[in-house]
Amino acid sequence: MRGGPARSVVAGGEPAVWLSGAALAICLAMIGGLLALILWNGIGTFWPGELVRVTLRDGSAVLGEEYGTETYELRRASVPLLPAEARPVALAAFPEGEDAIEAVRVLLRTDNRRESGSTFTYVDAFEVQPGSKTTPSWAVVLERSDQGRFLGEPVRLVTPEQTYEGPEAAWEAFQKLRPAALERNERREELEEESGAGGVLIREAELRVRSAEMRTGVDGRDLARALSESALSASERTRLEAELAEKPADLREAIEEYVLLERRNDIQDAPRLAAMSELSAENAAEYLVMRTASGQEVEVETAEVVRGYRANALSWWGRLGVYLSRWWEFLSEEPRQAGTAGGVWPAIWGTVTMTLVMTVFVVPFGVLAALYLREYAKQGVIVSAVRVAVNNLAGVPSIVFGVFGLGFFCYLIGGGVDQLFYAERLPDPTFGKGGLLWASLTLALLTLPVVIVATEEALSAVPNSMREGSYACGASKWQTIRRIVLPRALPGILTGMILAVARGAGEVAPLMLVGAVNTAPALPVDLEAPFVHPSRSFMHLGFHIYDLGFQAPDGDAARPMVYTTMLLLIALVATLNLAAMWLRARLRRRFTSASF
Amino acid sequence: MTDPNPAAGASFTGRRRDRKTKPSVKWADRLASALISVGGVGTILAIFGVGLVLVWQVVPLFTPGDLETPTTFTGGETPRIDAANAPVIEPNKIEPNEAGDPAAPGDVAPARFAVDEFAVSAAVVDPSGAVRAIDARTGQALGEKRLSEVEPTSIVAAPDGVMVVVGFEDGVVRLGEVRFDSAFRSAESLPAAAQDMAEGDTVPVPASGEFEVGAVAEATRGGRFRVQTVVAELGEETFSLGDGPVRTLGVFESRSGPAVAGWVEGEGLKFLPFRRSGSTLTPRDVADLTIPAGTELPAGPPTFVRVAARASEVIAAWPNGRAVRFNTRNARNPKFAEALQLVEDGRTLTALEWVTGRGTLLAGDDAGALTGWFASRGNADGGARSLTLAKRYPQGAAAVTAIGPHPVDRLAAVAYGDGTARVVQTTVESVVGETTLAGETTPAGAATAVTLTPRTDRSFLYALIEHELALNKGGQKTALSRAPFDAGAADATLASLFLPVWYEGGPGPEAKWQSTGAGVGFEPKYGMWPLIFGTLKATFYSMLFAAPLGILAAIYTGEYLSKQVRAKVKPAVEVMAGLPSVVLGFLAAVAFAPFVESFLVAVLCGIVTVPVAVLLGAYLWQALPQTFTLRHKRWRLIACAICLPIGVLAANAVAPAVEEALFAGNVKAWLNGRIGTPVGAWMFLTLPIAAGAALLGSAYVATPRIVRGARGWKRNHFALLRVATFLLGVMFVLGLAWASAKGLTELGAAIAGSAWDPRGEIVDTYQQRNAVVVGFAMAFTIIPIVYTLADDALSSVPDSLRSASLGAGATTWQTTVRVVVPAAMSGLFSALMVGLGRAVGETMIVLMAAGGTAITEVNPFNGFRTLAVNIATEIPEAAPGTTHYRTLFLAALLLFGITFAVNTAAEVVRLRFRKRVSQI
Repeated sequence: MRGGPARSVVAGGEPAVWLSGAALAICLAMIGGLLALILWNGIGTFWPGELVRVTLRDGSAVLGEEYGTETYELRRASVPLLPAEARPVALAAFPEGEDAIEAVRVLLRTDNRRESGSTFTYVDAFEVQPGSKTTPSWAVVLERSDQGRFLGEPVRLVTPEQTYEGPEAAWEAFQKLRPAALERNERREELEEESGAGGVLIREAELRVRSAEMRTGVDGRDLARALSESALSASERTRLEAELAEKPADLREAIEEYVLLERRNDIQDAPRLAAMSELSAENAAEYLVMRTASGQEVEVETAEVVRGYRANALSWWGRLGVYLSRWWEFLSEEPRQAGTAGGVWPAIWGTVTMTLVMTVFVVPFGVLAALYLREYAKQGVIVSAVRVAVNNLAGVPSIVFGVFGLGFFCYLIGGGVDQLFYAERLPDPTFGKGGLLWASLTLALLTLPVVIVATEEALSAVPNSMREGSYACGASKWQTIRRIVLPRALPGILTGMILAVARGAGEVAPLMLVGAVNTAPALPVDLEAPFVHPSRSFMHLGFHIYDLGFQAPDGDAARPMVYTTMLLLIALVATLNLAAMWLRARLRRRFTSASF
Repeated sequence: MTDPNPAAGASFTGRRRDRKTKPSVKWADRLASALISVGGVGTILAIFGVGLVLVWQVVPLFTPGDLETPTTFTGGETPRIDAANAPVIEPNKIEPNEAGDPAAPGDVAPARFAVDEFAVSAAVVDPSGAVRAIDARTGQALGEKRLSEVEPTSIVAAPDGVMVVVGFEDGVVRLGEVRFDSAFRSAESLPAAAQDMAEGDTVPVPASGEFEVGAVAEATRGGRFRVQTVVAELGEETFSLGDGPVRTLGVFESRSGPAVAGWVEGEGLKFLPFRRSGSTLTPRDVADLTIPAGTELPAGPPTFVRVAARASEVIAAWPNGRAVRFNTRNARNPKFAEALQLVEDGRTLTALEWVTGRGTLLAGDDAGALTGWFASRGNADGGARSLTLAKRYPQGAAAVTAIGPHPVDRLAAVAYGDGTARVVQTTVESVVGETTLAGETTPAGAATAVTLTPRTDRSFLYALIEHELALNKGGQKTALSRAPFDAGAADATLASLFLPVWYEGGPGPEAKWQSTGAGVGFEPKYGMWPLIFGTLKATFYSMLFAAPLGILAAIYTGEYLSKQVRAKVKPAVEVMAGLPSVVLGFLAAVAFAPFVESFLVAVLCGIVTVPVAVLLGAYLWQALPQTFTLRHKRWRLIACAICLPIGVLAANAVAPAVEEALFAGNVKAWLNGRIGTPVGAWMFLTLPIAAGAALLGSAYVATPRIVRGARGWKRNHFALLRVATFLLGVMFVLGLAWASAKGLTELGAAIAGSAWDPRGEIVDTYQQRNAVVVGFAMAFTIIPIVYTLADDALSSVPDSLRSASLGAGATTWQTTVRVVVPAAMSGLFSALMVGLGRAVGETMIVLMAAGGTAITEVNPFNGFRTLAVNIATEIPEAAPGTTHYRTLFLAALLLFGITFAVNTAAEVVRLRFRKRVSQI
């Protein structure tokens, strides 16, 4: 052996093997680190932390939840940027001749955005009076419905009947009065909904007038509006009615219906409005007076508090309760304050419905195409070329499909549909813009190759001997496919479907063009006839992440919500992917037993 | 057979057997066959329809615009036009004149010819001070009004506004307006003909009282009439420019006040800016624009005086093409900027007009040449801006007689002496369309004025042909010619999309993408190169990171992991593929980018220390007793993993020292080239080269010698020697890189005088969202693809090959490198191609983490904009059918084409690989 052991050491190539191993380790570390990052940030978001209060050297106090401590390099030149009181302390910390030191600052979530203008505050260690850090037992977190969180201490609670002085009495009364306040809110929402429903009816009646106008070629909307004025003199009325009598029957009926609805709505709306303003007055009369850390007194209506708790007096179970209730709100409520609070229910629902509608389109057509390619088409050069091309379409960027969807579905088909069936709504587009149907169709096209390829693989994995056996028993081609081939291929088809759904649920780029919006006024599928509204825009978890992370007005406050939304989306996609893997594994087992 | 009677379909079960197929089965079979064929073919065609739709939207981008044959009206009694039907007009017959010469342009050229935006009425301001209103659909004269009783000596109107300036014998000017007032009226106040008109029909309203010079009413939806009234007013107030007669005038109009420039006989050029407060105009001091002595100029007044945007410049041009330019940015103290020649020697300057936005001047001469001029710093002297000849438009057959800019787009109508007219696109130098204005029944004269109307549903080229010929019995001397035009996608041509174009104000031809901008006269720049460059940059940096990791990880998984571990590791890497890219994009922008920014030097050091740590680990492992390493082989992956944090910690530890030594203590300031020496930047380049050289040297020179020298050594002694040589090697590489970097710096200093610096070329400013961050984030989407496909390729290499190699005494590594990888090479290649295809089209990560500016810099620390990002950000705002919309479709088509080609190549390679493997 030439070279002996030395040669064998070199031949082993250990360093290169280690580099490969390190590459694999980096890949695993990347995925692990990423998931850990999201889990860490996403899971912790809703946990109610302790509130700390620190007094600064200038005498002011800050109350907030600690979000982290960071060390940074403080240079002598940047000391004057610190608050005046902190400067001498900071300067004293510089050793002789040194130009830079490591300084520490704490990031506090101080909230009270309406009162102070920011959600987070950096507190430099030099600013803090030593030993002033406390956790006041009466520090209370109030989550307001549209003003963001409030941190402070209760002073008193004022109701029209009575004033409860002192934190204890006020808090106790607050807990007692809240159910009633929440009931008032609910009642108010109901009233608003009713009045909104009336508005929708009127809008529809107006569209009918418009479409009658277009059929008959006679104007009528101005007349309809004039007729539905509540303060109408008698002479004016007779003149307008005479004018109405001249209109074609079609249009007249539509106008009469519109006027009737308007009047009825006017009559019904009056008590609603009165009740609403009464509720508002009741809400305004019952409020907590709170004191912020800086001593400012702020009034918070009991009815505007979504959730309130004493952050430092909570037991572990109490914290868990707040944590879970926040999660529940996140999953079941609509976003509040531009997405920085509340939940993502419309986005979840939008994602689910869009994906379902997409599945309805993609699976039958994908299976048809695969059946054709594998069972019916004559195998040859053309079919293999088509197969290669279909396979490659899976690699075409999703944004290209988005462009196609926008140009073809929204503008061309949607524009045509609007011209034909919704002309009375123009120039407001109905189908001529992004919406549930177009988004689903676009994603269906995008995921079609995935389904075709998976189904084809599943079909080709069914052994030919089984088909031949079936034919030998006298079965027709369709009978063979239906009874023998499809059942065997079903798990494979399902795998393809799930992979398509997973891809579809995680795609954002095409949706930005064909229908995802940051706030949708209504759900695309709801309990109002016709239940599925294919032309409506919808919210989507992925788009919500992009929008909240990059377009939100208060980006810092939105960030925790982005992490939880990401967690949700990843959980959804990962569940679907894992299901596909599990099915694939099952499928393999079945094949090994099925082959003979 | 036991059955005595085998006939009659009886089977041995005794039941009768039906030999015929049931019709229902037959029909079901046919139905299914038809349905599946139709559905299958339809579905497949639908997918390919995606490409077709893209092509269908892109094709109009390359089809020329259209300028139709005009209809010409010569006034007189003409029926009103029914908009629904094509106008059929019988113009008055025209007698040919004896001489047949067109009148010299300029003599009769109006000071202003304007058509309202709905293209129903026209106004002409004659040099005599008369304002005429014309029905733009019939050519019928509506009325005439004189601006002043006194005969003016000069008159000018802003082609992009409503202002008119009139100059007089005594050196004063008066300001006025000629405009279209648009108002809605009911039929009662209009002529009787208006009573029963269909939507879109027009009726002329002759001059009278509230209808001023004249008006045209158009029936609109709901029985209302939109009336365009020509209004002409001249203010009473006079402003003195000088004492002599005012000869040639120029005006610039803006909300903050107009500016007038004019030539006063005997005194020269004057400049008079105004300040507007509310509705009153206050003149500022008249400034003399003194032409320095010695400037060669013809005698007499200039033929054109033009004032640039924001009244920053005044240009006066004489008939022989000599021109002077003044800088009037400082209105009190205007400065002579330059004298220049606008046409070739011996030719006459016949037309000079601004393109919309007043940045580019179009100059036409008597030989039919049309040129575009704008202020540019020029390529050669980086100093003063000068009016530069930047555009040469296609040559016309006869003298340019008139130029009419489009009010919004960068189009201009150009009329020629032979009676033809063109519409040119001023940025891309293309001719949108060409037509002959004169017809059989129209005068064979050249247009004295042309203009374009802006509305897309009513875009017309209007030409005014004023000629004695038209003066037939009782007629007028005005002929109006109207040619519908469709600019199509004139803003872009194949050349302008992919080659550099000289944009207004730029130093020279550039490839630039800037589709929308604020302000009047914004010049859209549709150069695709920066986007293609951005796409390539994103692909390059992500593949740089992901390709080696994916392939190496697959090799380790395939060749060194046990089956059980492999079954766990593979799905874990594949989970990465399921991560939505919006999540990665967000994390890249919010978590990775700030991290890389604050630990930049550590990250750069990590590129060196992490591999070194891993290799050191390998050499140490090698030095352990073989009995131990063989028994604990499955811990190797863990050991590798432990080396990573060690490398990271080492990077963090050396970072401050490295920053001090190479980057002058502050890496970001250093990157800008403000401090420090270029040695560090050179090391960026020399380090990989030195490492490669050392690797080759060790493989072919050093190692064989050491092995030969250490023939008799014990294994562990030799392994220890390897540790030492490795450490020496690392030192050597670092030293070599540093020395050559130093040498290059010195060399640069010696040759170029000052040190030539890769900073500013290869590395430059630091942006938080940059190519490195994108490359890292993108790796999450590419690695799983490359990894999975590479693993498939490796595992499809038959085990018999491995066994044969191992049996012949090769080590696992030798087998991997010499047998398995070569056999799987085409499969690995196709894995890389598919990964590349994915990188090309990734949208969300780049959208969120790349900054989004369309710049062409290779600098890894700067941002970029890819085709995909450009589409995602701009297409929601692009109106369908516009050039912008179509260029975005072109971008999508490019992406489609690139990815399809790359994937097909990969697929073909893969199929060949499969075939080869199955043959082994």
